[in-house]
Amino acid sequence: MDVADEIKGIIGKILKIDPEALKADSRLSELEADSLDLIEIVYSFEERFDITMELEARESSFAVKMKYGGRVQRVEFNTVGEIIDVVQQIVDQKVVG
Amino acid sequence: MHRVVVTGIGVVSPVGLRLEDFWSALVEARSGIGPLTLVPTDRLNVHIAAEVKNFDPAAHFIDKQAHLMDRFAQFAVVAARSAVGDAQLEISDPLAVEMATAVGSGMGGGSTIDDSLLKIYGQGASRLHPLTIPRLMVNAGASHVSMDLGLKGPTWAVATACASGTHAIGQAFHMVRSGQAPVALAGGAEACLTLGGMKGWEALRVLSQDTCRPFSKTRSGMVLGEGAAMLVLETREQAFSRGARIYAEVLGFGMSADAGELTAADPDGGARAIRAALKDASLSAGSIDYINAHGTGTDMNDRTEAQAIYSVFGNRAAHVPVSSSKGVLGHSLGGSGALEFAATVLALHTQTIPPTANFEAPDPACALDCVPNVARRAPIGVAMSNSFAFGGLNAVLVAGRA
Repeated sequence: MDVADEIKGIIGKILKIDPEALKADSRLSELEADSLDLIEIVYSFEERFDITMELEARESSFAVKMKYGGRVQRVEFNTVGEIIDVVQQIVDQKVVG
Repeated sequence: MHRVVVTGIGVVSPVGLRLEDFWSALVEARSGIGPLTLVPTDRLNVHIAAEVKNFDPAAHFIDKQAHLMDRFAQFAVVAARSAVGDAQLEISDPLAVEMATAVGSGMGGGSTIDDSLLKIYGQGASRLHPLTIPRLMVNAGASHVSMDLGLKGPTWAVATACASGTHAIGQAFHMVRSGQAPVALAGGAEACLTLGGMKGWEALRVLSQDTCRPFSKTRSGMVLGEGAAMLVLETREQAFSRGARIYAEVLGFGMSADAGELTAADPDGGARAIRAALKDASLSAGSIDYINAHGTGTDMNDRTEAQAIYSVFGNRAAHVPVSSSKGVLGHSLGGSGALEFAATVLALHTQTIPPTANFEAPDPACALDCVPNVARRAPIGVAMSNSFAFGGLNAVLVAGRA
């Protein structure tokens, strides 16, 4: 199973929806994820991939502080596709590091 | 000042989740104490407890809701739903924003605390589940009852160890009596049967290894239990106007602190709480027909409680029926006062005194009429329920026949 499928599996498990139904452009807000769901999802990523995610949740937007494009910045993720991208990047940085 | 009555009772107990099962076990002295199965016992000296058997969260909650709650909060919500159903109370506006909710608990989310400490210290985990704090907080019971039933009025938690449920009901009673809330949902919940919790209690050397025999010469200590009870309290006018069934009337509530030793109860502290409850009810000791005792089954509690009763009741102390429900229910700490007040209310409602289970032999140090092992039909006009907590915090409720 690749990282993308695992991420979808985790999101589906916590939001109690079929991971197959998650599309890259599915928005977290449309999936009715509340702030508690989000921190649980992030926690599950950290546990599964042994990474640390600096979550910055603000009203109606979710983001992590991470190294991106050579510098540390706030990277928003509001769709399943963006989550997969962010987690994949952090996992890759860990492997490189 | 309003008169306050009990119109609904919900229980989650070691002898069942249905009120009929709870009451018949108490009346028949059928003990809910048995082998401890919730945690491994190989490292424990004590292998018994009064567990709530076959409690399946899936039978009461959708996954997502159960997931948010420690076992103690699940107990609180299930008991609260039963109480409201039993009262046939419809909670809609404006009642939803006026009604008071109070849930006592001694320690809150015991299994969450145990599990998370094991992860951090035992397994070296670098992070904890994000729901750790919301699950373990001692107000989680009150919060989940409020969320589950949509109760938006004054809502709070009480933590006074073994008297938590009694304090919660007493404060809620005062709110309804004074007109601050037309209805209150109040009680206590505890789920403390964890390995860490058992070890802590073992260290206090107060646990029995066989069973709980309150007031008996052969008593060997207390037996930990778990469970919850919630009661609907409402003004008598409202209960009449909606044609509600009335179990009993709440008449008085008294509190005191020993300001003495941490774990050794003080007869004077207990007696002051009893006197305060009688004064609050404008009654004399002579009017009490039945006492549901704290009666933990430890050598010291039962002796001290007998002294407190003697100090208030004088020579009549030997003749007032006194029974402890802990031989059947064990000691569910913050849940116990609420479960026992439920038993006291049912005693008034059915005019039946539930016996002290597992009683073997009288103890001259507890020269009371303990109603040993067999229930007694008797006219009960006014009854009292005692809770004397570790930390020296005492709470006593007085209720009368409806």
